[in-house]
Amino acid sequence: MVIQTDNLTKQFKGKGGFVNISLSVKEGEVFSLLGKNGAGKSTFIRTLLGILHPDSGRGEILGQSIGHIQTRKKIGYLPELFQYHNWLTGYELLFNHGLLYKMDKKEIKDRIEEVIEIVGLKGHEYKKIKEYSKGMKQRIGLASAILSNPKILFLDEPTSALDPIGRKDVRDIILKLKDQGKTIFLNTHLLSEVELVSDRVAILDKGRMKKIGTIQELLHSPVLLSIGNINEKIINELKKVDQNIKKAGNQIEMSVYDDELLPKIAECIVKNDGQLYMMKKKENVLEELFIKTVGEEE
Amino acid sequence: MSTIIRLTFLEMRKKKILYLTLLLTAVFLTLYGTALRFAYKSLNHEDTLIRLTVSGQLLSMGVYAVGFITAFLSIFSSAGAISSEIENGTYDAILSKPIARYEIVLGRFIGILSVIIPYVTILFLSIIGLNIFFGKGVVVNFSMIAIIKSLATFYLLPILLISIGIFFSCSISTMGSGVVMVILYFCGMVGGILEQIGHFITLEATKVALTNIGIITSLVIPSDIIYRKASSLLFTTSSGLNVSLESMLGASIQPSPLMMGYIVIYSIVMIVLAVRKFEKRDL
Repeated sequence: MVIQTDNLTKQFKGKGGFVNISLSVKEGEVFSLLGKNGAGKSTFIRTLLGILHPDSGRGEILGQSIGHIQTRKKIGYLPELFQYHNWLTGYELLFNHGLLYKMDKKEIKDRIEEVIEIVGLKGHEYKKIKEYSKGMKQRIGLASAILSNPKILFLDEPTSALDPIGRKDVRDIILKLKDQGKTIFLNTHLLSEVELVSDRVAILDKGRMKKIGTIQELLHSPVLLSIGNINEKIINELKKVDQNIKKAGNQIEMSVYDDELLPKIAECIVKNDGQLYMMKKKENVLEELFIKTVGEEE
Repeated sequence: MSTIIRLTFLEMRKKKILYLTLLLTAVFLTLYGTALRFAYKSLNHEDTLIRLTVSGQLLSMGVYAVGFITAFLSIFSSAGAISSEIENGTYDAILSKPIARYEIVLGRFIGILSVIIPYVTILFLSIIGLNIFFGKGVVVNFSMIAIIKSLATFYLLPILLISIGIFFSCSISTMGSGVVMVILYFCGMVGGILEQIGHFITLEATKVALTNIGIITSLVIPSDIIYRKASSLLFTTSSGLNVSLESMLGASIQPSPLMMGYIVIYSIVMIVLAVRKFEKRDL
């Protein structure tokens, strides 16, 4: 495990923060922490990085206790509220952050060229950061996070200031980094983003872990069917796939864990004199799960 | 740590603090030099005692200005050195890198000093130089050793004030830190002046009271002591300027070498406390 926490707790005078969080993240995994604003997601990341001191519990990154300085060489972090020395140019910022990573100057210069290209800031690197738009600031922050070619990347709301194209760019970068075997810890409240890039998801609410699992475990997106001439035979056949199908008029909602079963379901309906007007996976399942989870106690 | 020193220096340069300070210093030196030119010209016709007294006062005023400017530069550059970065949230990106917190505190301390020490040197030597240049025949026998000793003592002022400033900057907000530092500095200054006044008073009880106030404030904030010591080293009998010591801005009571040791230890303790505070603080 590259990230492991055991009953990790951080609160501010007994309020806010997070309580007894135990989780583990495997190497090469994209792990998303979902939660409303104020759920404790950023506090959790900042505690893992040693910016905040935990009240109790244990945490390890790459086998070292949280806050271990040398481990940070292998960590990249994009903070949520991106604030850097805005009197520097983008290039100067990256250069100084490279020095903080103890990279040598030649390596820094080469790497700056690469990351500037990756985040799409080519041509803007010599502008002062105070002249950057919000989106550009987020991009230079991402460039700083990936500058040292880290093993683990902590991204706190990485697309919050970006337009739809910027969001897609960042998603593509995340997927590319995932392909390179990087472990990515993603904090977000953008559910679509989570579904598209994550391997596992945890839902945090009021500082407490509510749910954790793979996307498949948490979502198993139901299938919606619209069937003409629906009859008992069809219902019985469908129940072989899901005992708990929901029927409303000619609409059926059922869970199908294996997509390979979908053509067989269609065939079975047609064979039993039914007319299949529509078959589709239900959308916004994660949103439904999220709202149900964080809204449970309200 | 070297990157933090580098960033501190870059900040002073990029925010134009350095250029503005140098520009205003040039204005100050021009005004001071012009005043010296006219004053020394007229002093050539006066008695020796008047020449010595006035020239001493002119130099004393210049040295006092060096202390005052250095003090404020030290206070304002250190009061927000850490706290403003915490308030702006810039440490999130820095502390996630492989750098220890003590390196940040020491880096800021050394970074600010590396700008202020050359500045103090230039300013101090300019004041002395202007006096020597315009005071030919009036200011005599300036010993190089006295100048070096005095300048070296002056270096303690930014070291002391920046260490205190960094400590408060690690502990409270920028505004709070600035306010506390200014008040402390003025307390030290007033305490020093009261101690000097006590020297002239003959009534024993008042003399003791004022001296004690001076000693206590010097222990709490020994900034004024540094100026007095630097002055006393500069205004030696051989320079013919020891008359100037007999004033509120002078150094009628010379601080002991022990006090200089106290200032060094005080500064070290402040930096250690600042590191400890920053290490424990949630950012």
